[in-house]
Amino acid sequence: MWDLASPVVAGRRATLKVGAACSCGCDLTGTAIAIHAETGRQVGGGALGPTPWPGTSALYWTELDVAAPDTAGAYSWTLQATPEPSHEPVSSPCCFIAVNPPEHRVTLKVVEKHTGAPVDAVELRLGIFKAATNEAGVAQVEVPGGAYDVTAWKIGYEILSSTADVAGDMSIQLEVAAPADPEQPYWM
Amino acid sequence: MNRRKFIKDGALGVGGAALAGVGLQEANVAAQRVAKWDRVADVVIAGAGCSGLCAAIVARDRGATVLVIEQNHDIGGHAMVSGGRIPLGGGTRLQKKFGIVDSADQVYLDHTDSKNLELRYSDRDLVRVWADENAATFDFLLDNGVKFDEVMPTLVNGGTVPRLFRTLVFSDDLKETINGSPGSGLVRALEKSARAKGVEILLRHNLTRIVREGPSTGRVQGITAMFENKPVSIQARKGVIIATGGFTSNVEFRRTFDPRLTEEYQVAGEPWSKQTADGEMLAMAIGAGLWGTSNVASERGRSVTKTRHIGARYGYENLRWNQNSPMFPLAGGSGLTVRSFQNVICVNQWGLRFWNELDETYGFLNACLSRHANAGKNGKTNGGGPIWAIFDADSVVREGWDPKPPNVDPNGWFYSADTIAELARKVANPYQLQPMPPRALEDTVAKYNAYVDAGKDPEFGRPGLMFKIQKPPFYAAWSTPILHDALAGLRTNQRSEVLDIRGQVIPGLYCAGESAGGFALHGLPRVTVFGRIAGREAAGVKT
Repeated sequence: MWDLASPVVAGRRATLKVGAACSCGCDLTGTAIAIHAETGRQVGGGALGPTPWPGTSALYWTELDVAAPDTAGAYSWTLQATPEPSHEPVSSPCCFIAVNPPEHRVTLKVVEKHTGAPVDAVELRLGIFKAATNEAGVAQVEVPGGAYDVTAWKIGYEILSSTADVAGDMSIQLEVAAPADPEQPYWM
Repeated sequence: MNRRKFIKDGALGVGGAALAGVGLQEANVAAQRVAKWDRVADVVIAGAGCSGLCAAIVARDRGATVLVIEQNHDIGGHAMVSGGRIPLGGGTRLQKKFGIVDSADQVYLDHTDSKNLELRYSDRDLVRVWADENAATFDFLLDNGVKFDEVMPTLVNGGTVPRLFRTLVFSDDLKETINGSPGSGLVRALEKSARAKGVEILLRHNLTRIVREGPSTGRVQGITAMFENKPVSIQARKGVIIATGGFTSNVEFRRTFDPRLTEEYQVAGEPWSKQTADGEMLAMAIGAGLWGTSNVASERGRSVTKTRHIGARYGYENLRWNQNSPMFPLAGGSGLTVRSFQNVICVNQWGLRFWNELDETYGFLNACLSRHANAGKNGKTNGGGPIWAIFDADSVVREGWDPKPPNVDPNGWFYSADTIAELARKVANPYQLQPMPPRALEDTVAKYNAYVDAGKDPEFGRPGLMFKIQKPPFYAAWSTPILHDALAGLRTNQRSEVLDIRGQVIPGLYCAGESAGGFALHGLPRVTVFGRIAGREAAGVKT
């Protein structure tokens, strides 16, 4: 399973991609896919398409649209693939976190610590919410109110950790810096 | 039989046995004497790497005839594929050109500072003579044609004065430079100077014995070697210099210092240059002692390193094999350079994570080496086995990788698959003791992804969790720690003379470079200086 937005918003819909492969490389087109909640109730389903996922030799896939749970929490649903009778059914966990609908918009701007220049493509986390800065060094994320750990990361920069209390729409500026040269660079 | 007769007969029996033993020993010693030498030179050097070439030139400058043997098919050793970084100071000509004031005393103080954790266990006698010879050695390199990148030098090694200059790559020809590394500029220039001065270099000669007058007494007389399966004996009228490059490639010898360093750990510099411990073992066979052995496990230097170029056998961070190198067919792959371990997880051969992958310290390396998951029973107990970096298609995009040959070596060092379970089933490598359990790897990845969702890694405290491993295809790349510096070796004094286990000089035997112990300083600055000293001392008074 991949490309499931994380976290999902409780009470709304979410899409995810599901794939399956046979170790013999069999064509699994049309294989039925079902998603079951912890209770066993089926919450979504579909069938694998005819074309393997790019870069794979025989991972047949489909995109499913499901209703997220109504309440916030951590969930472990089950994906089940039921191929034709020559293959055993298989199942796999589908773990995700559901959150309450967001209330506030947080705008994050990331700049380089010493020059003040905007930094693009910085991966950001507010708690479990994620975003990435654009060319202007800005990202927006919608979150419920609350206290959050803030993390900013980009290759070539030190990980930045901070905190934010979100009680309304707000803006945060973060400064990232390249790591200092190692104290004793021993390369040769 | 009365007591007196018993004692007399017994003594004769014991004495007789002793005399017979002496006779046997004398016979053995006689058998090992070289009756007729094939070659002769004043100074014979085993090893045509950086220290051996420096020794050869200095000995020749002093009027000695010099013959060098080299195990490899070409000169240069590890220095050939090094970064050519030579932080020598004390007031070199290039330091003065940039207005930098330095002194031998400051070099000594910088390298014996108690805050310098890497050099804490060094023999101060060796550090002192090294400091005193810094400037002269750097200028010697200049005088012998070594070209440096003449830009303002930088601080390194905890130094207080800028000293680091780097040599220039010798040429664009990979047949000459082997991998296009700046170190080629050092050793090719030294080779050119040595040959021009009349040093003879015999390639493909494997050192087989250091010949001494007695098993552990007397003067060293020369060496024997093997060339094309034929023995060669070479007499050394003045001295033999061991410059054979260290021991890291010799699994049994390196485990002397750290029993964890079993066969799965590859060695930087291979497949070009192997550190086979020949010099060490043969010198120990005639009584030589070891020195500075604590440096190997000090967890400060580069004895064990984190692989930086994953998915190929040899992934030492400062040596990425060029696909056009003449050594590439043996190297097998260049490796995918990891810009951030944020983009992978690391698992052991059982498909289990074991540490915070972002840790760049010996904490991570110790976890890699720690143990096999067999509680020390029924199988291999030492070493930690293969370590695999696991990642997905999104990691490939973020890192900018092209996960195909020649960047990766699919012959046991890199795998790809449509699913995690299939990936685990595919992993097959000489050092995997058993197949990786598919379910274990699936559970590891699922657990890790759940940690990413939650923003916390409760098992290993990895900070800043960002990316799940979820988008096919999936990859497993060899990411096992790779070994580099020896950091210990034969005991020598300030004249690079080898000492025996009682601290007595072995007359006629010298050692320089990676094979010499006692000073844990990494690389070229150390081996150039002691190579010069060994050459000078072996040659003796200028003739």
